[in-house]
Amino acid sequence: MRILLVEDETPIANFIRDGLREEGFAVDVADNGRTGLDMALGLLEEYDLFLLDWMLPGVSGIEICRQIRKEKSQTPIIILTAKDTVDDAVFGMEAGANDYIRKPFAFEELLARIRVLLRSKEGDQHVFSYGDIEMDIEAYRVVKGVIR
Amino acid sequence: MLEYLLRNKGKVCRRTRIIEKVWDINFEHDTSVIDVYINFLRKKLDQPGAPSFIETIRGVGYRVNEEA
Repeated sequence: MRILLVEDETPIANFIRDGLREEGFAVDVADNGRTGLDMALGLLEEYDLFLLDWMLPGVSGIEICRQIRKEKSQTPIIILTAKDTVDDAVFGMEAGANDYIRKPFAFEELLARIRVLLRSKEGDQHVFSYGDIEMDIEAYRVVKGVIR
Repeated sequence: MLEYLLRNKGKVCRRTRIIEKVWDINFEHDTSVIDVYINFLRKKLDQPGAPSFIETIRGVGYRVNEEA
């Protein structure tokens, strides 16, 4: 699973990136809106999810979100923001975001929201098998020699 | 990487796609890391003496075949 994170505050970006990598995601980071937009549109099919900060230098996260949807992409988008009114959340959703998370947030909550969006996209399959090999991606376990 | 190969059973997984899905953009210029991890998987999961369950598609990538 590959995620594009667009966040200009380096400590926050690093915190999210490292956390997601530990969870097994491939994470690309853009630190401004312009680069983020270019990466998002240039590699639209490659990403499984977009995490966009609302307030960014150059192009805002909301604008990136609109541009992604304009390309008819259904890839899940989560907006990160310090804005905290109901109106802001509604505005974000109307721009095409699937979810909205307010800073500061607990990493576990972000992770849970990401998982929900990816699950509805990929279906609920978490066990894959081949011959006598069985892989459970939620349990982080691969077993060889499974007898069926 | 095993997850990606198994999700795409029967399809050839191109090296660039594997890198993009499993690692991140900064690795794109060097895909030899894939071979190292394919080797780890083969060592751990192959049946001794039998052909590997991960087929090498020379110059393209790797494939886990559909089961017979």
